[in-house]
Amino acid sequence: MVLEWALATGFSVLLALSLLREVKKIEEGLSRMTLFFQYIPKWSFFAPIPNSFDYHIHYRTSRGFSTGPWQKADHFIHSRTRLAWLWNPKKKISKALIDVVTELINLHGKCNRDEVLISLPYLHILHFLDGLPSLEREEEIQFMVLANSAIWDDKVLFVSERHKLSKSLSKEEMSARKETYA
Amino acid sequence: MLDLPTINFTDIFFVYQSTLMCVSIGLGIGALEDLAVWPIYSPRGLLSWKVSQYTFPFKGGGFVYKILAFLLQDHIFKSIAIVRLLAAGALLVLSALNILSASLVLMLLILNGMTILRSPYGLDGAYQMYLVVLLGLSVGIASGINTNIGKISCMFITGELILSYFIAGVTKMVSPIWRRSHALIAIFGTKSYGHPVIYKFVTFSTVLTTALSWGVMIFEVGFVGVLFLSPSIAWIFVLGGFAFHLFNAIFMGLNDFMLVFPATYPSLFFCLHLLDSNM
Repeated sequence: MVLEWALATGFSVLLALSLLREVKKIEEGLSRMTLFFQYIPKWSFFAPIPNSFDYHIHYRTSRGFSTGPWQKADHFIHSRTRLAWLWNPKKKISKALIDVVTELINLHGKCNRDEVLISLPYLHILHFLDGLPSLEREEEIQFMVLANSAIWDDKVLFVSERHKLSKSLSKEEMSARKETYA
Repeated sequence: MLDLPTINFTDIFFVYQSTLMCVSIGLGIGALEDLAVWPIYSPRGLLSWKVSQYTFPFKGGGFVYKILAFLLQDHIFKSIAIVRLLAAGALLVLSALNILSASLVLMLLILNGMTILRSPYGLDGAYQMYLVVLLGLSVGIASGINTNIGKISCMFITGELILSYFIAGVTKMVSPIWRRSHALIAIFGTKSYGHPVIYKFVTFSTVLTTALSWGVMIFEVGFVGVLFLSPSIAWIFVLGGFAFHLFNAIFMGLNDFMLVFPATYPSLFFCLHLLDSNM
């Protein structure tokens, strides 16, 4: 009997938190309980602001005094197959990019530049580009986030700083970079 | 074995069995999909652990941190995806053989729950619903499905299902973009979630787009009305729900929603029968 009441209460609390999470101030309070917060469902899909853009990462590299043209990192948007209603692994890639970019843009609007440069989404994009095999001979990289869709023309949402590629970093610089991230 | 012509949602064993079978198929496909796109989790991928680990919620060198940090590194995490796949397959087979395994469900809950610790990016509402269903099922089966806790667990799953539709609908209704029916044009104009045929359809006529937008919002908000209907009429809502998720799977690529949300409908029908019998 006690267990029944305890479980009923626990489930009720979870249901209430799922509802209350939609209230902004409560969500901000809950977000301080980082781990637990992540497991409370958020049910507002495509609302209040629906996903209206395709996001693209463009990058350019430089070596010495020479800077290359902007190139598109085209690993993220894929056309769907006929079987995508049942089997659609590529959606995870595009959703990951949407989530990373959305958070980066939100941080860009709320935080100062230094905080953005060491934020998780910024570092994820930088780390990904840093590892591209085609950049073996390059020294620095810079990226930008572009958005477009069938109804929106290309719009630059964010431009990064220039960063030395890790291949061209000394051991001391690499250690310093790791300390900054931590 | 499952007797297909008889769909008896007053039988709690059938409710748990059918839910487990639906969920295990979805979880198996989800695990396979994670393995198929493994490069994004690899050391050079967009969601590399080399970066994610710096915001890992457990700090310091405590026991929990050490265990989780070990389990979330690349090779181990990939192995966990394989275990998730095998566990989902085992769950499907055992459920079909009328065996409800609480430990297997709990294991799937824990293993799937680890994905968000590794990275919150790339996950969606379907992932959240899987955790809800697995939590409800594991508590119900472990406590005994014929006990009150077995019923309470079904009520929890039903509650989250109704909340999910209700909140999704209300947050759309308070959005000027949705109320003015621009949202569908915006969504279907993207490659990520759009579709060229549906895009042409929604841009063809304002009346059609308005009807579709408000149809989605009214359906989602109105789904809570299923609680006031008898099970024999509630089928209309449930078929509408299944059609909605099938549409999203075909035209938006949201296959995982089509696999998990219908898995909650047996619990919904069980709860409706409970309500009906108490009236």
